Amino acid sequence: MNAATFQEEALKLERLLYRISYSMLSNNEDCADAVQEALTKAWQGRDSLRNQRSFRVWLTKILVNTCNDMLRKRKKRNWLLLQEDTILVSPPETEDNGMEQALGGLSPEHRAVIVLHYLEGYKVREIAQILSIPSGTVKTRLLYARTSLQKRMRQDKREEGGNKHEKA
Amino acid sequence: MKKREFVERLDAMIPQTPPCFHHALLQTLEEIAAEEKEGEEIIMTPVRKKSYTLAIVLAVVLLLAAVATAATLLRHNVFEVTMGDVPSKGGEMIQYDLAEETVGNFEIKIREAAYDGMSLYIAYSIRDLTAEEPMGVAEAEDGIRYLSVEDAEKMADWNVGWWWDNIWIDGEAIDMPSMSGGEETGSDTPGELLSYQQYRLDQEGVFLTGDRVEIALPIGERQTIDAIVRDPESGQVLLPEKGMVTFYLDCSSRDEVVTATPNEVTHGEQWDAQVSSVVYSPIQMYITLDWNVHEDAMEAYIAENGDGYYIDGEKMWDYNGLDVCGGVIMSLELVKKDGTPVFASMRGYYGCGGCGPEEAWFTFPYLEEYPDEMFLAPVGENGADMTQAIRVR
Repeated sequence: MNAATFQEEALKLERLLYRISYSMLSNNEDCADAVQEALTKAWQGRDSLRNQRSFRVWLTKILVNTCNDMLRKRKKRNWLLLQEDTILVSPPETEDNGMEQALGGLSPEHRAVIVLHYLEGYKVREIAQILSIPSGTVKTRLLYARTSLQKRMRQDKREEGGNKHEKA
Repeated sequence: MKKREFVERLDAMIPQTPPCFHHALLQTLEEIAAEEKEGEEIIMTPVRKKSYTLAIVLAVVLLLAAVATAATLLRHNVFEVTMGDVPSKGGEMIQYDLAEETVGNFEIKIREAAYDGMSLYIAYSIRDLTAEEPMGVAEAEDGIRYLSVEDAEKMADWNVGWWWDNIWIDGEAIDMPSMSGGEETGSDTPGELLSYQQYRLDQEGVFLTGDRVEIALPIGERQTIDAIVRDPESGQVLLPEKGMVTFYLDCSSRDEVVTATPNEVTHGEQWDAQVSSVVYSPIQMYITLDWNVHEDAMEAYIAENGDGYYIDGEKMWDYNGLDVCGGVIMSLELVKKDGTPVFASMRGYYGCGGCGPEEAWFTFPYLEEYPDEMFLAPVGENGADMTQAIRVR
């Protein structure tokens, strides 16, 4: 694979790369670091990519590994504290704020799995390959993450309903 | 809730791609193109590293001994699931059947817990008493019942919940420490969810002593996120009044761990390092490595890469030792005096678990008898580089 093809294929995946890194790192600057490092590693190891059609899975795996390395190197952040910090800069105005907290309450591994599956459409066995974990573990993480988020969504709906009732 | 709505709301939670990310992507791709053109090796832009700060040491209360209850053995114990193996003394370390509560149609049990002087291991179960079928599907490889996506529908309406972010020890909140982890599975019992967790309390500076330590887990009746209330002064999450399961654990095994302080400095090519502590617990061996980068190596790095990492002209952080040689430190392996590995496999669990610019943390399996001499050493294609080996024992 030459640089032009690599560049073209990587640019197509920009949104995917951001979603994955953001789901794991929750910080834009860290995401920028991760994508830089992952792309560099991928280019240096491009000979290991035997089939160009696997580029998407291959690059995602490298990015996930890079994010995992970064997570290992830093102390895990408390998402709720992070949210409070964020609020100081940008007041939350969306109705999804509660669910966002629920998403942040998941571990990076759970967030990555749910984003890979539901937003990027990866199958369980592909996620297992990307994360180097058994497919059973992928299913477990999906189950936990989806259940947590759905609970929060239902709760938000109930609260919305309750608020409307009070206003009436 | 329909899948489409779920996906749309999930998608809405990920922000738009920020300019700094787009810029980093483009810049790297341009560097790659330039490298190909010039035939030069690309220089990786180092990522930001964060230093590690120890949390305060938590005092614990010494109370009366817990009354032992009849043990209910799990098919896979907490060590097997969290660490991939059962240490030889693992069985005798585990305390069984520590608490049991019923919330509506759900039965919550603290099935197993152990403390090895550094880490807290807990296995608990939540069981839907109305269920008729077991949860999860057993994998042929290990026999563990991994949960399936279909189980989510059954669990969606469970009125029991759990958070991972905090546990409370003698009333004091502990945020989930770094290098912690866990797993959830089903069991052969209908409707039963098993959760296996390992908490690296030492990473929060928390060491438990005494034979009756109170541990509270947020796995009772499901609470809303509003139940998380912080002390306005300390910022600590207060012990919730509801939705908790409390049990007492004998943590006197802390007295049994042996700590060595080799502190023998090795002068590497780019760094100096010494093992400041080796904690031999009955479950794992925990190594803390103190290290610092050579001044001339740091200066050379800065001369080549600048004084720090910039985005759009704004310095995001100063470069430090981790940028220069963190990769080498993190890949150090445990070897004998002759350079051969002490362990054939790390099973994806052991090795370096974390690294800062001045400290790194390693874990290795427990051995009945350790080699007389052990070192952390860089290992390459030609084997261990013993000229840069750091004495562990």
